[in-house]
Amino acid sequence: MVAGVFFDGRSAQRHDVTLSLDGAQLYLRGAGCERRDAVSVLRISAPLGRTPRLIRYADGAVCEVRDAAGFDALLESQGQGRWLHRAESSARIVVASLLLVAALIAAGLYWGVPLAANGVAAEMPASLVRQFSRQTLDVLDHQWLQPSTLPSSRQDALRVAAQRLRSAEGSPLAFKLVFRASKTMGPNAFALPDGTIVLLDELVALADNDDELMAVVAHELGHVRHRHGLRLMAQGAAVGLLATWWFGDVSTLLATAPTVLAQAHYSREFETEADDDAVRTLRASGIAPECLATLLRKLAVTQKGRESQGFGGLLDSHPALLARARRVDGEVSAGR
Amino acid sequence: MQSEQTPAERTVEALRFNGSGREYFGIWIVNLLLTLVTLGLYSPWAKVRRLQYFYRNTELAASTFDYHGRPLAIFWGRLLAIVMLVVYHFATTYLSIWTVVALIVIGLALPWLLHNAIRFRLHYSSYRGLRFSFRGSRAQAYVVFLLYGLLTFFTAYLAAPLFHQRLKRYQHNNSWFGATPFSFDVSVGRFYRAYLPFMIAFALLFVAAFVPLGLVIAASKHSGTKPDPHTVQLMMIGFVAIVMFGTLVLTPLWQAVIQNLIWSGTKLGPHQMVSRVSPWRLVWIQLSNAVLVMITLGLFMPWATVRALRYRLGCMHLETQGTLDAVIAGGEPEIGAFGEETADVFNIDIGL
Ligand SMILES: [Zn+2]
Repeated sequence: MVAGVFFDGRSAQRHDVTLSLDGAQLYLRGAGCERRDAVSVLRISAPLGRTPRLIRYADGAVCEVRDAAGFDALLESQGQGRWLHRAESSARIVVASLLLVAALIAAGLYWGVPLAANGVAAEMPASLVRQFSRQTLDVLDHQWLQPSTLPSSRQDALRVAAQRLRSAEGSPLAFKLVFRASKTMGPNAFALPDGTIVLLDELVALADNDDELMAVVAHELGHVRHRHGLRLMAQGAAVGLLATWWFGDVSTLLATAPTVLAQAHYSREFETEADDDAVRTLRASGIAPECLATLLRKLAVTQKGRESQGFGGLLDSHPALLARARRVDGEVSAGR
Repeated sequence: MQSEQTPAERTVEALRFNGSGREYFGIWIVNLLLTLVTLGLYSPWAKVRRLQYFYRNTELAASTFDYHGRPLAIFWGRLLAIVMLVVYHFATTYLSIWTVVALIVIGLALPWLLHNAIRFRLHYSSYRGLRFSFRGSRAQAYVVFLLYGLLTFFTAYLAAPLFHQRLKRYQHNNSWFGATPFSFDVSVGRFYRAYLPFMIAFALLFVAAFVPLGLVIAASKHSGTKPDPHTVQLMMIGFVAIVMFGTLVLTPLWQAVIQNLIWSGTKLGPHQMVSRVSPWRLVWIQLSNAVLVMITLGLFMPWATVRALRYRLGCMHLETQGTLDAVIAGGEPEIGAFGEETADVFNIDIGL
């Protein structure tokens, strides 16, 4: 005999009842009510935490039982989804689930996000890429950049020199070279996803010859070819989305921090990819690939003691620039 | 309000939440794992289990509530919501004639869906074997969401208290428990009075956050030099602190004030509902929850949820006139879940 509270489904009146099993029938009895129903037609709720177990009758009546042990003894193995309750209340399974969830999220961040970002970046229509690039340059012009002070003859000479650049397969490359100056960004260059490459006066001044500048252009073209800018954007959005989903219940504020951290990591990978691309491009264009390493070392000197400013350009922290220069040297000697 | 001639049969029935953090953690993590390994397909089942856990742990007058939502119905609702969200996103990102068309279609569909959402949520909730139901008309949903919703938008949220009052009036005046109707009696004026301090605080924070930033940018532009990095850094810290203060302190304060306002103005038949959440206590709970969630990388979330629910529900009670036993059933047909998810996705509060 198990105690329960019965509601007939027609009023909110409580009936204290006792339940017992009579063959294949459940016998319910209390003050002013008595019924006998085949167990097979009852809908019996699966256990869920320490919440009351519910027996639902076909006519809308319901019986609540708080005595979990008594209920299980009476109607053992009734109610689907018992395995869920067993998993939820087993310390071992809960800890295992926790580790699995952590592993899945880590895998998602490490492989899933870049993969999804690649897909999005590859599928982005050209018109949208152009529009986005134009907007980005507008924002940069507005906030960080000033018009270039290079004479137009020098600009044109560099544009002509850049015509020499060939892809690793030997075909001409489509891009647009523009010049700007910046008081805040120092010697730098960056690529917009539509193939617009921005060279800053400070970088032109830093280079000893045009080949070094061509190495920079080749590097930036690597970013364009691999759609790094778009991928970075998509990755940022994806990580932000994940973080919002994870922390969403508490505050979206907490959700922004991981995005920033993740981006810093990804851009390092992109630089290496662009450097490798630049070495191939320079070689195909008949320019000594060592120029890239030379320029990276010069940049490292100017960057010494400065904080990285987090733009997608050449700018990087001092040790990272030196490491990249060493890597380029390695690529150059390996390809010889 | 406190009259002395209270009838003798008047009793106070407290609302209580019995869930435990440890228990909910197990449910939460298993839900999460199953959702991840099924690439999200399990999430409607997870939602039903979560809501069942919350409802069945909510106790009033020695009986608990129950949730009967069907996962498959939620699944289809969720799919529709995602499609609408994608359409909305693209329509507003690439401006064209289709933007207008899409926005009109969504605008016309939204009240219909929200009406359905409220119906679904209530219809699949029960207490003591009796279902809740929502009988508000669809036409009224259009008035509330389109008219007052658009008004709020076009008055830069100055009409938000009016919109909120109309929404709650529509929801609570048309809700039923069995054959007993709920009623709602809070004037627009009281909504404005409750909102006013928050609107002022929000305006002040907005000014405090953006004006110094704007001044520094303007000054640096004027002199043509780059702003002092230290000043910029200080200002960014100040900006974050202000936003933090806004979300972590003002939001719980507002939640407490609004919960008290709405629920203390709601009656079930002759029974008066009362909510007495202490705003600063809620701030403490939400603030410490946020800190603990942050340092545990989110693992404290189940405890945080249970803790907040326990406090917020524990502050409510029902002053019954006579007995709840007298409530009788009033049938209503089954309905689909279309809309249930739309409210979640578009972030509109239709909370019970
Ligand atoms: Zn680069």
